[in-house]
Amino acid sequence: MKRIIVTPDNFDVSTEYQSLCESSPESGAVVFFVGLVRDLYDPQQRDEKINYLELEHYPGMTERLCEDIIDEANQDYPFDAVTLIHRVGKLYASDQIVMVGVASRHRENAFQAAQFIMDYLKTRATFWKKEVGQRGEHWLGLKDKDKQATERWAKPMLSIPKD
Amino acid sequence: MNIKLLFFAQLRDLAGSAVILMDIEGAPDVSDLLVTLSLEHASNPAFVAALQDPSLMISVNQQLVNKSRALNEGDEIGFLPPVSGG
Repeated sequence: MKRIIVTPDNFDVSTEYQSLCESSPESGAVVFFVGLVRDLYDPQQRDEKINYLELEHYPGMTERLCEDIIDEANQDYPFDAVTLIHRVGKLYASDQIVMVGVASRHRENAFQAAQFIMDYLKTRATFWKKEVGQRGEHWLGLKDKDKQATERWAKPMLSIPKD
Repeated sequence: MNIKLLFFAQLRDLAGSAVILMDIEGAPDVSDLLVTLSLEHASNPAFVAALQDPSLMISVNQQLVNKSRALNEGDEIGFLPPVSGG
């Protein structure tokens, strides 16, 4: 089972866990990752706060790219079922932004696939994030640490085809 | 030929709109389109600079393309700044 949802609505992890487990009785391992909105730009500068994030995406293209990422993860780290939810719109501190849940026969592939999907979601899917806070309004670009995180998987990032 | 341009994130802010419908002459490719847009928006240098930024990605009908990609009637062209999801 493969579920990909892009939505402004919040999600309930226990409901998603239940439905992932029910869809995949052959699985012996489930790994969940949930990403939340931070309220600080930088843990070293505790006085400057982010008020909210504004997330947007390219409907249609985003879902297709997410499916490609999931299919690639499944080739290298076969799993039984996956749920990927990414929220868009205005999100405040501590709100859930993203979740990936992977069910597999054994734990190794569930861990690896969940991490692979998250790393590529940050670098290959058409989502954009704007921070609004005490430093004003800024669209975020691709961070070096996210770029480096994908390099360990030795797969290309979202890039323009060569001539 | 009629094409549809979609601008996202900072590109949309700079373009001042999310969608532009355009009637472009001849048999253009993506780089011709970028030249035409830059000329049409010469009074908006920040937008022109963003169009020339090497980190800008372009999609045609939701597939990433390079600048030599030929355009066809009805194409949907996406202007995609560096992504920041997750």
